[in-house]
Amino acid sequence: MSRPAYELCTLLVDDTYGELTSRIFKALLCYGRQSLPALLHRTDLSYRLAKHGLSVLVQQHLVLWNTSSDDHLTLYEANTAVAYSLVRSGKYIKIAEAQAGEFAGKVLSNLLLLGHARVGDLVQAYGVGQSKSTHDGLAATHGPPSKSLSSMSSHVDGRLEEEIFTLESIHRTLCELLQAELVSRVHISHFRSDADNRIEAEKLVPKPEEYKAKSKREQDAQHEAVVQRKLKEWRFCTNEEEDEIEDLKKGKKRLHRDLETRRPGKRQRRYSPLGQEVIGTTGEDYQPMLEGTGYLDSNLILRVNHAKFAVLMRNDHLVDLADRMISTSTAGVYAQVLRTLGPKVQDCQVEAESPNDKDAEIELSALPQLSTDDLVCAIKDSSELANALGKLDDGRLNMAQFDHPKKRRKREVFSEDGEMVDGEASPEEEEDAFDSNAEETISDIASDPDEANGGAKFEPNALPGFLLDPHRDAIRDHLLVLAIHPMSFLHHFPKTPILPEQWTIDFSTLMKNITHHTLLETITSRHGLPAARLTRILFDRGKTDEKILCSTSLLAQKTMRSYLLPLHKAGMIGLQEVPRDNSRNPQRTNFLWFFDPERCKAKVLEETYKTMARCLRRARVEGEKVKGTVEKASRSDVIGKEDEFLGAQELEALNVWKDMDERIWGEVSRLDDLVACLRDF
Amino acid sequence: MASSTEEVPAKDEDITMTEPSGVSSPKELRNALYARCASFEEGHIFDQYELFAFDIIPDNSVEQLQAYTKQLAKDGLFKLMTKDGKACWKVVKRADAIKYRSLSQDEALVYSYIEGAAREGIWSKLLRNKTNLHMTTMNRAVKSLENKNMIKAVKIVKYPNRKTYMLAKLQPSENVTGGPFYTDGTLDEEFVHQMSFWTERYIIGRSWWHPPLPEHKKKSSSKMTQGQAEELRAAELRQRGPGRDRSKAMLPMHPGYRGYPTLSEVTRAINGSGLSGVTMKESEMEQLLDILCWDGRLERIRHGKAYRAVKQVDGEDGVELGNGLTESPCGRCPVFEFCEEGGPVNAKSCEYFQEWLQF
Repeated sequence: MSRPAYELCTLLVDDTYGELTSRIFKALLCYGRQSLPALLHRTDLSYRLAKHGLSVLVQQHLVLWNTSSDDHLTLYEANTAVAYSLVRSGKYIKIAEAQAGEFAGKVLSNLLLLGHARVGDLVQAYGVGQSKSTHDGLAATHGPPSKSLSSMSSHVDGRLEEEIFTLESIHRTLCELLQAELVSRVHISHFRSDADNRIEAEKLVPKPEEYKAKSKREQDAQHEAVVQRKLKEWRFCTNEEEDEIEDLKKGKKRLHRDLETRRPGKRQRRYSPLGQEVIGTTGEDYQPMLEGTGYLDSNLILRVNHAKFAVLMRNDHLVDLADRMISTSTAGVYAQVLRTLGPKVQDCQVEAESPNDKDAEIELSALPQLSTDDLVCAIKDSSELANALGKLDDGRLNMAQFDHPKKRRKREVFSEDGEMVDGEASPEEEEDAFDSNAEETISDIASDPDEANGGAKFEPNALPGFLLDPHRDAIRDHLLVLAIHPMSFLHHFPKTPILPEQWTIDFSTLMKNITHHTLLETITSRHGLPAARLTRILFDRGKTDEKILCSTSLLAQKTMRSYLLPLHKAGMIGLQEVPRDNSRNPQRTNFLWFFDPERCKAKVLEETYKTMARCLRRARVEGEKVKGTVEKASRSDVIGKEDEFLGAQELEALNVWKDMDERIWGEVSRLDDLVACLRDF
Repeated sequence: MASSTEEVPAKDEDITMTEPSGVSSPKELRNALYARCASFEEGHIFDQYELFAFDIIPDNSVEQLQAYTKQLAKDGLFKLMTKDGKACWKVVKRADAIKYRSLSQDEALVYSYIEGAAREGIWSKLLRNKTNLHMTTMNRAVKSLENKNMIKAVKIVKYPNRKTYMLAKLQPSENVTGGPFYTDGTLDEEFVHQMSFWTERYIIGRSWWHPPLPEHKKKSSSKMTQGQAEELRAAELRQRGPGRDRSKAMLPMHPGYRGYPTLSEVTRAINGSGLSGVTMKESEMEQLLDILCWDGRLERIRHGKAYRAVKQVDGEDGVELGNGLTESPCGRCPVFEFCEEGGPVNAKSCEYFQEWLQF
């Protein structure tokens, strides 16, 4: 991360948690990993204050720490990822509301302010319990969270009050959030940096020498795999049996079932040793749900799961793109695909399971898939879908291209003139092939034993039961539209004799395309269309000489130069000098232009961080101007009676400021969308 | 290939042939030989045996043949060439030979090379190297030839700064002119724009489904102003034309749709449209389609074989496809690099922000 990003993070921490915390956070960002004495020296804070600030930051996951088992020295480190996500709080709450209702948004906003919280404390904070807990106490030490909790419990309207203050509703909401993976359990590894986690993991797993492998390399590879698995376990709070999390997810279902049947004594699940490290659980036997009660264990500690929120934000972004690029109806189908795949996608960044495996086909089939039937069941109404696709004049369709290649090959063997029907044929050939093969195709299918339904002219792959199912066809058509789009929104696995038709999303390719699209959109609106043309040529053709670039782009040399130079100056494209001989004479040198998407992306990201920081600074400047009025308006005796206490001028100033503030924060949110698209997705 | 242009004939009477002479005078024999050769198709290459086969040279004597051909070459009527190390000849038209005869030695030399370069033209530097003439001599020769309207200077698209010459009567080849997109060696931007505009509309019309527009209310049609009527008519004409405009209401085609235009289809359509007198080749059309793809207006589908229009393009329908960065004042700020807290440019004193926040 760069300097503007650090500035942004510090500003965000300062805005949310105040000056003390931001001072410590800034010191940690500037000087890196530090021990407490070093930090005291850097910040000129008293021991008490520094401890206090650090405890707040740790509670918020803004500071990571680790105590080395060798020298018992505790080192602190700033966590920029979480600091940045402070800017997304509003979006998180919106998403939670959309997923699990309005109350869930409120619970989540509390959880965001608290960083992480014990279920018991969270419940108590809503006034159900009586005793003050440690976490509540901690929260009370720095204004906003406890204030908001108390105001929460006092300023709710009547309808919500009923809902909020039943113990069950809080538990149910938390359960729903857990099921949707929007909140997750806290593990001790969440407080450590990645490097520390790795060291700890390596301590736990067997040494490379202990593996039964022939060569040193294989041993290392096995060791690496085990370490990675351990890290993943910690990260997602799963264990070897991998069903603890499932258990949690099923919580609600069980809750209902238990309530209905009142059947006590469910099978006891022994928690793995990992349970000891999950903070807040002390015993060996741990169950997230208390048997028979339908309540979550009050010792369970929860936090916001940023990874899942990124996934949901990405889904929204993808649906929006599909809407813009294809059509609203297709985007609706796509949203359903993403929803159905949702539980299987935990994280945006998918690390390659085995980097040596270069076979794209194998990798693709390893991705989470869903079948057409899943979607057909999920989408109830398709009447609109059927009308949302282009009608054809002659009604002839080429659906054979979506068959399995094996079947197509079989057909090719049959067709003796050797015409290709698959995707690699040339356009003319293909056109001819369809004309001449049309009858052949039908007869071929008729002779196929597992597809004895002759009339399958447009839908040779249809299962017998779905032959005349317009609902299914409509959905499948939209899926295919998504699959053939150059952006590769969807990947289609044709039906094979064994497997039904499957769909998956190749997120890595898709996101590469979308990042590229976003970068070029930025270039287009900043430097103009010809600049985007030149950039795309450089991307397609690789490093290019100016002369060739000129003739390829069909731009006059002068015009072209007037676009290349600003692009180069803005750091979007690069220029490489390749001397033709040793003299390094500029006249004997080739100058090659090139476009490096990674470099361009880094540059745009950095600029975006800086822009966000500028916006936040400006928001402060605007705030300073009306500081007196804002302070007056937020006095407890003035709230609610603004008209009485404030003059017309003050009210006007306040409104203008509110508008500006909203505008700036709206812009920051838009900028965050860009960061999310380029960095997180 | 080596052409013989050692000497230009000093005497005129050889060609004018006014003087009568004996039955087998060398001059008559020469003329007979020339006439015989000229009866062949243009550009035919004669070797020694072919010339003997005409039975014009007495006794098929090699010495005499040598003498005659040498004289003919001197007169500019024969062109001496070599093939596999053996001498052979090409006939030069009498008119051309006369042209040569009016030239000085240097001019003839320069002219012969320029003629040899045909429609490709020859670069002045290369010409100087080949003729081995001094710069000033050659320039004088070139200038005089230009004045006589025998050669012309052309501009090669690839090397616009090179002085290139070719015969005045020839049309420069496409390599030189750069194909249909260039006029007089410069890019014809208007032509490119018009052609791509037509192509784009053609492809939009064929790659998306345009739901029929709702019918205009009949009531309003009676009270239409002239401007409205013209507008409606223009819109109707546009609807009926080969292409369509982009609109937000466009719907995607069925996945089995086969009508996405391919390169050959687009080429055929644009040549059949009568839009331009130039016939576009497929390679040229591909260049144009590539440009449209790079502009983000078209996309390749079906493994790059067919083209489809991109649904939403920046600036059309009044939609600006920006993002947070480009629409914020900082994203377009010329002094963004210097902007920092405590610096000469900062968020507090920023004028652009002030402007942006005003409305």
